[in-house]
Amino acid sequence: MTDPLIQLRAVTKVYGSGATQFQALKGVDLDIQAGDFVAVMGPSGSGKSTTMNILGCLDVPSGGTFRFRGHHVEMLDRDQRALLRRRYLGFVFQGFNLLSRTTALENVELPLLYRGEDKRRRRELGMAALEKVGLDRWWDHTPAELSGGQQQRVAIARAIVTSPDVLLADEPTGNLDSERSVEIMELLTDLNRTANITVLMVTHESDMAAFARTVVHFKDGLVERVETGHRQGQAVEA
Amino acid sequence: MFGTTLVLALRSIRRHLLRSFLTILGIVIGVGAVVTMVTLGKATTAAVQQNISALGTNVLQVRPGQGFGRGGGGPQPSPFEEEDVEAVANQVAGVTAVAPQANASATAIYEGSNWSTSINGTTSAFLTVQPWPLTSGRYWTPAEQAAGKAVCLLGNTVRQNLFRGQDAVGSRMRIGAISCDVIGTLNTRGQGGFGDQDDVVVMPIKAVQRRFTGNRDIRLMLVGVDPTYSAQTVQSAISDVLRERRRIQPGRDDDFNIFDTAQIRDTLTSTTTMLTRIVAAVAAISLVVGGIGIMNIMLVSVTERTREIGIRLAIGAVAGEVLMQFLVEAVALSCLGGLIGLVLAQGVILALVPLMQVPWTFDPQINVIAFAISAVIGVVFGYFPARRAAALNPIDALRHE
Repeated sequence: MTDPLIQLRAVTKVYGSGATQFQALKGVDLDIQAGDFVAVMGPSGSGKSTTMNILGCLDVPSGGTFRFRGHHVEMLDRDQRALLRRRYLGFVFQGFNLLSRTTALENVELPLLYRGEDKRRRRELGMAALEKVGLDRWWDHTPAELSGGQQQRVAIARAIVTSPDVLLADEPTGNLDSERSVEIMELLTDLNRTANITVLMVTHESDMAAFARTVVHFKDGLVERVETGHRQGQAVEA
Repeated sequence: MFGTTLVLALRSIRRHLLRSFLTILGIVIGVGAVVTMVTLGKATTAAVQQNISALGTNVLQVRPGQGFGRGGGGPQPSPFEEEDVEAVANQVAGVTAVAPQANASATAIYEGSNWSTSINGTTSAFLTVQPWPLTSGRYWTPAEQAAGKAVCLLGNTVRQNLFRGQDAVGSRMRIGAISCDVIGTLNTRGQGGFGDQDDVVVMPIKAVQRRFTGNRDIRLMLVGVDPTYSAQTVQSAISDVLRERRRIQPGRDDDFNIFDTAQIRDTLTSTTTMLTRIVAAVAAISLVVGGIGIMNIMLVSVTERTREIGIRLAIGAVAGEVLMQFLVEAVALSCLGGLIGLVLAQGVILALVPLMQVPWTFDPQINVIAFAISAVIGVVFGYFPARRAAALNPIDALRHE
């Protein structure tokens, strides 16, 4: 078996100190293989968001090790983690988090700006990403002119424009109705299959988790159980 | 990286045009005020210097009476006589020439035109003290001067108003009750703080005394000073000669005054320069206030854009890039304000120059300095908000409502 893309070992996370100290993670072990589609589930306060922040290199563990592509992320400083995010990760949020008064294309181009791509290349890659999410005709619309589902697709285009290894989605369908939610999930599934992007998704809806190949259940700061070989995953492997 | 941040900063300014304009208003006004004040101050100084220089350099003006700010009461001091002029010319070392003056005003008439002007009666020494070239004709001869012939030289304003385009030399015009021959026309001297210096008719002093003032009084002596002599020494020597001739007891004040034009020029120049500096300092305060305005808005902007900063950090911006973006934004704003301020200042200067009757000048130095200050203000006042933005934690920033 190949080394996992992501490997968490005995990861703990403590917030605050003294009397107000709160242990969010109590020793999480988790392996995620490249190309997997993982749904992370659990009640609020179970540690799933904290784990996602650590996996997204936005936060560092208080203890334990986090290896991403073999790098010990827990050893990296703030700017090194920013460069790791820039190079390998894409983010999709529940609240879409697009820049207001900014066209869809400019939003999608943003990560490329930080990568130092020139204007022509930004446009080229930005339009290609918008095309993948089916919004290339809406490139000059600002978020205020787009529906919720469209905004989330722009956000997905922004996340994949750099061809990341991993797409982290935090409740991507939380603000959408069920029809739009299924569209977004189908889009993520398609990206996972065709672009071979590893998808990590936090959700509390089992309907959405059903699109994933692996489901990780969190409880009280620990991984409670891991279900593999979901229906969706079997279909892929068939 | 700088190109990227500049693009981001300019985009952000463009997206919030009204807010950006209000942000830089303080800088616009500050830069505009500093440049306007300094430029107009320097123009005023230059105008003062020009006016004083028009009186002649190395020239002392000697008048009966105690001069500025004094006198008033007491008996009218007696005027100078022809013998006083000769005494100063002959007895004081370092005097090149002494031109007596007797002045009158009268209306000059030629054919249908008439023009009210002033008459300056003097001797040919006047031209030694204050050279004044002719545009045509000739000066008067010693014989004409001695005889007090009614011959005259026309200042440019008088010539234009009486003769229009015609050749004045050789004509005969009326001035007051007499008629006189125009023998020459004088080159233009221009406008000065003491009125139009070309609005004058110059005649031999004897003619003026006999036909206009009706006495032999001399109200002003212009004394040319050899530049190798100190004006101070010459001044006190003249004073000694005149005190003796006017029988002033030792210990009593002079009943005449001697003006050194160079001294007046220096005094006025230093006064206007000082005033310029004071006004510029006041204007500079508004620049600082403008900088605080930028800091204010940038701080508000950082708070308002916390979520945006979170997004940028999440998608891989390093803290330095966020810092640079906000810093470049502040500097771009303040530089933009500086530029608008410079343009505004030019407009205000153009509008005020004719009102203040000072020459228009463009001073590149103050423009460069004011612009540089606006850029520095952007860096100084933009740094604090930018650092705050860069220090944000991406997770908290993303959660910010």
